[in-house]
Amino acid sequence: MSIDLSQFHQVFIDEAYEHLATMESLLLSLDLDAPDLEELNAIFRAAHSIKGGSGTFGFKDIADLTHALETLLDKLRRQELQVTDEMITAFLHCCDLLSLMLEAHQDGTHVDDQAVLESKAHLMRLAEGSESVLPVTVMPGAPESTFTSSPHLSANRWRIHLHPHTDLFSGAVSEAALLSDLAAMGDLVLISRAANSQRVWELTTALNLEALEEVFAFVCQADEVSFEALNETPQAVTDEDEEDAYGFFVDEDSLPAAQTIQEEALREEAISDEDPGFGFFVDLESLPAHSEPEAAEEEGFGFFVDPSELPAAQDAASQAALEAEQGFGFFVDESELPVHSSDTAEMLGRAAIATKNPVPVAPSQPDLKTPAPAKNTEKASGVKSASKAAAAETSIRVGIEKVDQLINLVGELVITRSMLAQSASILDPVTYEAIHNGLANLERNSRDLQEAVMSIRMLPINFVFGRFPRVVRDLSQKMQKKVALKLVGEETELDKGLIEKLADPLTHLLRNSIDHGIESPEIRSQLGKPEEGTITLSASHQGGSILVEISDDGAGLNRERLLEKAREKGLPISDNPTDKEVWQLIFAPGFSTAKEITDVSGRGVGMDVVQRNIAEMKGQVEIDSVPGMGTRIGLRLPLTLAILDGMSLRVGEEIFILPLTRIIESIQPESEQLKSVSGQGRVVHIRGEYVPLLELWKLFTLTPKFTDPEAGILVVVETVAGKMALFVDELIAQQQVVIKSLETHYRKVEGISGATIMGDGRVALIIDIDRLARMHKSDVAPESMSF
Amino acid sequence: MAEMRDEQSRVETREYLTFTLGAEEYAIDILKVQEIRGYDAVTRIANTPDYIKGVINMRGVIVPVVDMRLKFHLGEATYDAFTVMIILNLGQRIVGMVVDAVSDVIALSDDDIRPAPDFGATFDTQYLMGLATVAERMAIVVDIEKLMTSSEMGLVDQLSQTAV
Repeated sequence: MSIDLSQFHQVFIDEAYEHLATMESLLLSLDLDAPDLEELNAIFRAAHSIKGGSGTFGFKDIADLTHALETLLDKLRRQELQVTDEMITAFLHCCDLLSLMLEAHQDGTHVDDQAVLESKAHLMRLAEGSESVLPVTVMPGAPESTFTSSPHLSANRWRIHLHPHTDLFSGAVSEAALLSDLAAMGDLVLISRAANSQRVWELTTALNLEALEEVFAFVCQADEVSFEALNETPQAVTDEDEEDAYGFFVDEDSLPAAQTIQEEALREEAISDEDPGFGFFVDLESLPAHSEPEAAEEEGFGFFVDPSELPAAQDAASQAALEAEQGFGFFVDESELPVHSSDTAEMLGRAAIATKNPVPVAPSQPDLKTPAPAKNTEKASGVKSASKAAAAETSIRVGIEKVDQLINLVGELVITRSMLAQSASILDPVTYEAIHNGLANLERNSRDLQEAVMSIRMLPINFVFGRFPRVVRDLSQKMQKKVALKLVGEETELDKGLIEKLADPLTHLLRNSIDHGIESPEIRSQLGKPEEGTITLSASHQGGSILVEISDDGAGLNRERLLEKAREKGLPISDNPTDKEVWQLIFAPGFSTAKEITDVSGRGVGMDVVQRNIAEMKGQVEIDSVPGMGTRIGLRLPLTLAILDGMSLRVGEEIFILPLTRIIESIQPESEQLKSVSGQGRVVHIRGEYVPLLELWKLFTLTPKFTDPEAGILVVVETVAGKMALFVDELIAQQQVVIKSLETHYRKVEGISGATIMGDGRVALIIDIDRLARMHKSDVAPESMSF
Repeated sequence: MAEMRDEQSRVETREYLTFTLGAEEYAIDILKVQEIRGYDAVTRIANTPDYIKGVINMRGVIVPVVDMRLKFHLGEATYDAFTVMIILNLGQRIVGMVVDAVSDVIALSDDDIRPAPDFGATFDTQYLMGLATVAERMAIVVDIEKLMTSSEMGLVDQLSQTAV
């Protein structure tokens, strides 16, 4: 079994990050007063998966720390300990350390051992907090603990039945290696030995079932081995009929026995994520009870039917279960997978088995809430893991470059189509009706295709919002303020590239809100506000753009103080500025009204960075603020970085694209509107304002059709350096263009932000208007920019 | 056995594409050539040296075009239906190169390429791999990748040059 495991490291690390993210979001949403057992189980599962994986790949440090984490979590989910705020903090700290450790393993660096040891010791201490209280015997009403409490029992005797579907030991698996693993765990006695690698052993060990399952997880499928406890444990878990501990369970209050078995099976599933987790659960209100459902099954099957599923689905389902001779998982979730036929079941089952890895939680649903009206947690668990598993099967990980390639190819297709349309336009529509119809179809299809492909790059904004509950929690604790974070519109989708760039500015804004916006609880109660401040983070589509808003119910911006500070700094302000102008002051570099510098904010390097970041994304920042009521900061962003709404314009032979969002108006100037300022070039007088004139042909050394601005057209644009009037020959059309990089094969070009391909296949350059304005301002001679 | 392999490696040849610039014939490694196409629809880029003709759309990829005749002042830079462009694929980058004409594909062994004399040719000798004689004609073998990614051509941002 000498497989090079390092090739799987990246997969493990990716998955571990996902598990950490799941844990974090679950921890943050955990209700301390009445912790949801199912959520605790989910956290435990995540920790366990990381532990399992890290153990396998030899990341011992991670395995050790997660073990401590798991020990405490195990006690929590068995309700031997009450969840406290201290624990949550310790868990979160531990999550941070784990992600640091993962990073360190990736980069080959090292993590501060001391911090790890401390965190571990802390977790241990918390876990031992009630060690004395821990009953050695199992608590009634908590059947979950039958197996897992075994580390504390002296030793357990297990009968292990191995009944593989294939002749295991003649293949890749070494029996000797397995035996030595088992022998290392305790006293091993071979009870029987048959052909086809069927074996029965008895093992006396201090380790628990989980450890046993781990040993076998790398040898065979989970349903190929079964464990029977031979101890005098109160619950005889393993019934002879139920030797695989799975089956077809009918959950009905009048069938308490079945319920116990079901709980047990679920617990088993919770323990072991490697286990594809099968059992056939049917909710009973909708179904007639089956008298002897167990008979239908020989081995473990997973079959979860959402309570709201149609009874009709059940027929197909039970048929699938009957047909299945081997362990198939069949997960039905009303939203994901309507049951069509038993074929689907079989395919799904195979897929579930093929992935022996812990089922990764779909990233898009980190805090998945069960849609089903769960009557009890057991049932919720079934449905929940079912939908998670289903989500895992229906999403794939694809490199972003593959998606970009697809987008490129579709772009090409669109261009080819418009070239075809151009050639065909001279054909007589009557004689060549078929060609024209075909082209119209092609146009529709290629547009749909383009939209579909673009949507691949779209991700829910939750990817960036998801990290903020943690940020708010940490910061508000540090600042000793009470802050609740409300997230709205987390499913709003936007381009992946934008999502990544949004994280920093949003973190800045959030910090500002907590630090400057929300008042301390004392002040708030004096003001008659609730002690707990609320910050709302929302995202929504508005026309062709995305609006991300952060609003708080804090103190609001202080107009007087802003003005005072601006005067102090010598910033130019008009005598009677509007609120909007005053709010804009906070974007000035080095501007901070914080009375003292904290490590959270106040250094005055926040807002100007925010504005720059947003401008880079071709977005805008809006501020509203009412003293005493709060502040709202809106970020308006384009849907995607890959497509731009532009205006195409012509100068001489060349066509350029100007971002539409920057255009204020276009005018044909009269001669009296044009003034020249000595040495500064010309300005245009537009409604009482003098706007500098930018002659594109001069900046780009082109041969224009018109050199006289009166003959051409002026496009008034908004730039970082104020309004500018761009003089061009003519405007062509408003159109959406796909942005392409010039730098991939060439290099940066002054005044140009990228390129695009026009309908005729030619390249058009996209004007970087801010850069152009700066070129004009600093009076850079075109000659000196040539290199 | 060893001798046979020696024998083989000695006669092992590589193929080169030859093209003309004015009266001179040049050869470049054919594995660096992606395709040869006509000269069309080049979008000018402002404020660049004259030999950088601009960029073209190569199946959705924006590719710069260099006119070698202008760069090295050889031949006459006319653009008509017969003007050809060699599209080079240099690792990460694609560059179009306008030449007078593409002539031939020749096979040369390492022995066929003689070291170039240090004669201050049009091409700096650091970009020359040597000289080869093909059917009575002399071909100048150029390390095209080194040339195109050099700062002399100005096709690459100086910072990113190390990465290429």
